Amino acid sequence: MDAEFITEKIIAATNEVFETMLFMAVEPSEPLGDGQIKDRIDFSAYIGISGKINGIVGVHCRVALVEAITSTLTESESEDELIDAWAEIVNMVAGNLKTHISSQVDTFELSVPTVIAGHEFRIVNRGSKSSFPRIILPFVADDEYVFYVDVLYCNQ
Amino acid sequence: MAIRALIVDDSITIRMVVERILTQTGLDFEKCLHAGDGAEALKVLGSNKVDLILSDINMPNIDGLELVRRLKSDPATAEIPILMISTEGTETTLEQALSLGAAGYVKKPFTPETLAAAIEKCEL
Repeated sequence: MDAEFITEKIIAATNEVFETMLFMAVEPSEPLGDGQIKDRIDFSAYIGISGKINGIVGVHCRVALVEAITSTLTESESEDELIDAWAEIVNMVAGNLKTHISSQVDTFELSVPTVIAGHEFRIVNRGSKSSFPRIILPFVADDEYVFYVDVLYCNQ
Repeated sequence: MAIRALIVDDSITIRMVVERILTQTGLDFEKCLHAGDGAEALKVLGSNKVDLILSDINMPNIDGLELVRRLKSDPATAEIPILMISTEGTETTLEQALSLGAAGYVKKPFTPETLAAAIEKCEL
C-alpha cells in the first residue's frame, strides 16, 4: 500500500465521521512531514492497529474543537466528557479507515483508544522512517478548527 | 405514536450523537432513554417500556452480546427489537448478535437515512 492510497482513505474516513456523525464540514490540506505540527495541541488520541498492517492512528487538536463538538451534544463540558468525545472520534476515524482499507486489502484490528490531555508533551516515533512511513494530514473543521490525523503504518 | 428508544453505549458522546441522528431520521421519537452499559440497560428496562433498543457491542460489565442474550431469554423483553451499533465490529461478532436475536446492525459512521432504513426493517 502506498502513501497516496492511505492518504485517500484517511481523507474519506475522516470526512465521513465528521460530516455524518458530527455534522461538521471538514477540508483536508496537504500532508505534513514528521515533526511538522507546529500548532499547540491540547488533545491527542491514539489507537493501535495490528494485523496485516501494524501501526497507530492518532488525531490531534486544540481544546476549542472538542468543546465545539461537545457543546452541541451535552450541557456540561467536563474534562471527562471532552476526553470521551476525543476517544470516540479517533475510534470512529480508525474504524472507518479500517472499513475503507479492508474493502481492498487485508485488514487489521484496533486497540482501545488512549487520550493524552494537555500540551506539554512530545511525540517521538521510534520506528525507522523507511519501515514505518508516517502520514500527517491537517484538516479544518467548519472553516475554523484545525486538527490533524496522524497515521504511522507498516505493511506486513 | 412516538417511538420510545433506549440507547446503550459506554460513551456519553456516542449516546448523544445517536440521539441527535435519530431526530433527523424523519421518524417520530420521544426523548430517548440512556444507559452506560448492559447492566444499566437492564435496570432501565426494569422500570420503563421501550419500543426499540440501540446498543453498542463493546461495553463494560454486561456487553452488547450478553445484553441481547438476556433480553431475548426474558419473555418481558424478548419482543423488543435490538439494533447493534458498532464502530468496527467484526462480521463474526455482528453475525453472532444476529444469531442471538438482534434485529440488525449499523456501523459508525452512519447517516440518518441508513439508521432510518435499519429501524424500518424492525417493523415497530
